[in-house]
Amino acid sequence: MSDATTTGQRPRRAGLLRRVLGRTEYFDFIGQSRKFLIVSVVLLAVVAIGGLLRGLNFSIEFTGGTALTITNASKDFTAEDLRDAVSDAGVEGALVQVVDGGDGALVSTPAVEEIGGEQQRDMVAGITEVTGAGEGDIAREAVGPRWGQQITQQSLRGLLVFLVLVALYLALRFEWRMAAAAIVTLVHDIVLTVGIYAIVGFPVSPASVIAFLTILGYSLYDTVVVFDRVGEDTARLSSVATKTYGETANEALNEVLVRSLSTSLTSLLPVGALLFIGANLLGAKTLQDLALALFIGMAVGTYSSIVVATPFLVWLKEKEPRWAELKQRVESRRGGADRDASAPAAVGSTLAQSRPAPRPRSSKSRAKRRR
Amino acid sequence: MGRGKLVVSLVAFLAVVAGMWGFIIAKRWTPQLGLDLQGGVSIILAPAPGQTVDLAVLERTVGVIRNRIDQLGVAEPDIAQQGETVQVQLPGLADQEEAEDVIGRTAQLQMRPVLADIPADSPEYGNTPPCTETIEAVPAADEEVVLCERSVADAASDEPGADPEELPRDQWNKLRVAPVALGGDDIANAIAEADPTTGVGWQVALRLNSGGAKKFEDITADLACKDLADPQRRFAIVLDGIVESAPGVSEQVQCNVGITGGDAVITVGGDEDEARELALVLRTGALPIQLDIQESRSVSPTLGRSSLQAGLLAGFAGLVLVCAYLLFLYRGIGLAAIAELVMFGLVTLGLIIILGNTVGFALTLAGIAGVIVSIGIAADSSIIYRERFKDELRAGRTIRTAADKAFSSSFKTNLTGNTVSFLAAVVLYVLAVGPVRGFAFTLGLSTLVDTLLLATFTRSVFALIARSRFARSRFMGLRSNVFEDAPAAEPAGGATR
Repeated sequence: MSDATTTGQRPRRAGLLRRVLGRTEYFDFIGQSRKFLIVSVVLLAVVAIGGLLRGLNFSIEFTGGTALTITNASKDFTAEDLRDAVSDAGVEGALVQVVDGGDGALVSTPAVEEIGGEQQRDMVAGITEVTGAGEGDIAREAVGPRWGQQITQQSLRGLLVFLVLVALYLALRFEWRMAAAAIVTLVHDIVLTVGIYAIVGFPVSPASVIAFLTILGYSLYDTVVVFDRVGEDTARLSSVATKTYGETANEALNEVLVRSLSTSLTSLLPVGALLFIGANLLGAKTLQDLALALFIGMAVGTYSSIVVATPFLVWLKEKEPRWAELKQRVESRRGGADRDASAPAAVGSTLAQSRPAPRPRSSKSRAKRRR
Repeated sequence: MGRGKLVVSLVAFLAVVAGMWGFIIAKRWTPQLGLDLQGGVSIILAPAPGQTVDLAVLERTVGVIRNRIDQLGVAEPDIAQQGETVQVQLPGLADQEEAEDVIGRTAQLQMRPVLADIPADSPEYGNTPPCTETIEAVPAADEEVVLCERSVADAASDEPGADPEELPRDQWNKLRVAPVALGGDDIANAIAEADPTTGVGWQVALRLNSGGAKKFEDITADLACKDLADPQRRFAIVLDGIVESAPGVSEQVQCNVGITGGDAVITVGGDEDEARELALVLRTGALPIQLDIQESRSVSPTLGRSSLQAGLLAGFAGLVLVCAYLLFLYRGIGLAAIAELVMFGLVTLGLIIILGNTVGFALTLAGIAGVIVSIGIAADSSIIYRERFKDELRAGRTIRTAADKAFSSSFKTNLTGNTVSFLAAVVLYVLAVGPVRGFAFTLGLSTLVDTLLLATFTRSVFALIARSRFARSRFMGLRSNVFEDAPAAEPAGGATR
């Protein structure tokens, strides 16, 4: 490729993206985990405080209520007229919005006495009178207060069952520490996403709940892919290895970094399309709610699978006597041969430096490739 | 796997996909769309609190609701029982209000002899539950009870033809009534008709079955023996716990003979629509339990269509963007990744269509979202495979062995990751209600397709390319990482050759 030639002539090389994609940039995620920990803790603290102060803005599916979408209005009316019509029917606290340059309106009210009952009928009659829209032009969505509670309970129960099953599966497939690290990451993602929702005040609808649940799946999937590699690489470590568990995990993390970033991008692209197209369509609230929560959650999930999951796992693992001893041994050995950066034994110690360490490549492999 | 086996597995996969689509096209099947995409009315009902509900009762309830909807004349209604709830879906241009009236009404009809009036100033009036509270639709059938009577203002009756003004509930009369003498089961037919005496109001004429006619004859024969002025010479017609009227037995009826023939009439205060709806629910029988509407929503067909278009457009745009990225990242072999995505789309869409036409799976907006999300999952499998392949190349393997080795390790990763996703989908499907289920279904389905695809199509295509003479072409991007600044590590000649 011609650009390979040009970059070859320039020692400082191309941008960060290119270096990441070509895997010549090395990041010391584990060594820097303290910084990431601070970032995460600050973020969590901000959203936790903000979330507690503001609370979540639940949509009528959870609180109970009626949402009316009025189209084809033929009369001139103001939001005030509409609000009066609704309160004449005995429904107080309605939110009214005139849209489409006066041809349509959105009305949402707290729960009516009885869905399909007289109060609701009076309200719809009042609205048709004010707006001149036919009854067929009013799309009505009514939810009873008990139903919302039921949905919430069911979602929470589903979440709990899911967490238990996943923890069991990961503990069996890998080990309990990985399961614990994956669950911690998951909780981190959910708290952050829900917290952002609370602070910004986005309404939480069933669609956002679906999205939150998807984020769980995504976050876990991401974490599992990384852990799969960490498990594979660290399985080769013996007690006389020259690298600590943390360094090996960091290498594994770097190996799957392109995949993590690419996957996040390929997941965010369709969701971004959904968000953009859903936003330009009146009534397609489901699409928009879903896409918004997914967009935020996936971004959070990518971040955490790299800088939360593995550092936490390493922290847990290096408490194990076996890996703690290895770490001690490697560090004391390195104390003596500190300057010998070219020796393969010191690959781990160069990780923290800003100039990336060359990937350990044997001359044999190069010879083979050129053949 | 040898070349022969790879070719066989590729051909077999393509044959199955072609066969599936051939079948779909031959049958002219299209995806079954959910209400939010084709428009319609969706109503979810749940038993009112404080009732004992078992499976048999729910099944009977669904049966009654189905009968009622059939009489409404809606095409292809879908009535399903989910947990303790009953979900009713009426596609197309259904009348939401009419549906609510007809479906949600218990229609528990009771005829009970009146024992006593309870005037508003008597102490008993205050001691019994006020009429303003929610009234139980199914009052105890075999005991004496006190019920509220729908009452109208006296003045209105002076002007013939005028709609009598109904009194607010706190001014309603109360009646003490005897156990049920005649119930909804005794009705053979119910028809709405104009009131023949005034010609203005509407009423529902009841035709009783033979058992009902006998019972009716017996109680009227009994009541006719009472004094004309006696309040007990009346029977109360109770509908859903409210006394709709308490007509007296006329003086023409003879003691111990009663009214024969098995016809009775219920006068209703409302208009023709109300009479027709009442006749319909009486004809189709009472619900065995009282149901409350938990959720009721309507979507206009135009809105549904534009949602569908938006969903498809978003999916298409997402697919194009992902393809462009894969091509940027992987050059020639990225084309194979695009083919994988296209196959993924074909198989998933094909399965959705087939499931829609066989087990009635309806594609909803949430379902489309699930598919769009799974584009990311499918692309991820391609990415994991290719990244793994690069790792193997770097470790010094030949293109061919690297491709094979990359498959086995990426398949393992895919399996672990997809197990978690699939687990999520199953838990969601089993435990959730409403739109979440549609989402979970498509998500689970795409997870399965993804793993299947990796094991057959992706593997064969990649391995065959790796074995072909194109593998060494620069365009394929297989030889080494196309983004790697190879010259730093390799002699410049190697890269510029």
